[in-house]
Amino acid sequence: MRRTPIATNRIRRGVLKSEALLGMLLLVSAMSFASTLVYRINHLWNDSRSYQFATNELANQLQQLVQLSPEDAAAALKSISPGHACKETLREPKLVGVLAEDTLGTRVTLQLTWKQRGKADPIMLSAWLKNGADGEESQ
Amino acid sequence: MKRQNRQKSPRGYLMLDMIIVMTMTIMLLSVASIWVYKTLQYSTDIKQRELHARSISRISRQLRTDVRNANSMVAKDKSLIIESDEKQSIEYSINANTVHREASGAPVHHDDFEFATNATLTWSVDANSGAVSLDVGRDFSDRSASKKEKRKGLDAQILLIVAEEPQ
Repeated sequence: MRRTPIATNRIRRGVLKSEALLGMLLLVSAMSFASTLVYRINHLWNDSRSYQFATNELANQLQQLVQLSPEDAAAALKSISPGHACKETLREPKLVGVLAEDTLGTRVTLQLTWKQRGKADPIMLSAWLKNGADGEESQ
Repeated sequence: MKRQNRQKSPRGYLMLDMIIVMTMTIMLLSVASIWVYKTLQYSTDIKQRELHARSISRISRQLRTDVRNANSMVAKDKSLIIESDEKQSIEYSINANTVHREASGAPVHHDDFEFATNATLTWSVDANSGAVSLDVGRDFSDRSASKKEKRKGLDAQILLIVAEEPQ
């Protein structure tokens, strides 16, 4: 068997146009996919930041409410509103609260909603008043 | 025969081919370099955010626990001193982007809460109620206007109130 000259001529010194185009296409696709991912992760981080701020805001509000008597707490809940920092950080925040009696005493539940991308459930946090309905500390 | 083959195959590229290929290569390399740089920058930013968020959670829980058992609290400049009935004094001091907690008495305890490098930490005192709050934010003054607009406001405000009758 003798090697034909055609076989030796098959050594390639470059890439085909179609290969180069395919490589470029793959690179552009990977980059656009990663960029979209980064964009979405950024949104997720911002939502996470808002959520953390909202939970702290609820904890702050509850800390003030639990010190009050049930009557004062009920009056305070009628005029409750988000703090100044909350209004600056979250978009159109709305804060509402209700009082309820249970086996542990008087429970106060606060609910915070704000304008978010897409559909999102409100955040709720509960605590018990220190001076419950019977005048005893119930927390 | 050999001479004939040489004449048939092209011996190089046209100048136009070269210009097109070089332009495309330069464009692709530039885009890829910017993309890699931005990705690395974003990776650093993510690490900073994660550290920041974790520290907010930790310090929020720790501060509220300490204040729940306290009978007095004094905020002075960069530090907050919390005194409790159990003869224990806890001092929180702000040093750049870190809050150091030092509990004297028994047991002695030290802890550090490290925030993002551009974090802004301040104690605010409400003159009417005497409540103290730790305001945690991030300084984006060196960033673009759109970034500043997106990141306005605080990252956390931790309100601390000493109960009249400690538990």
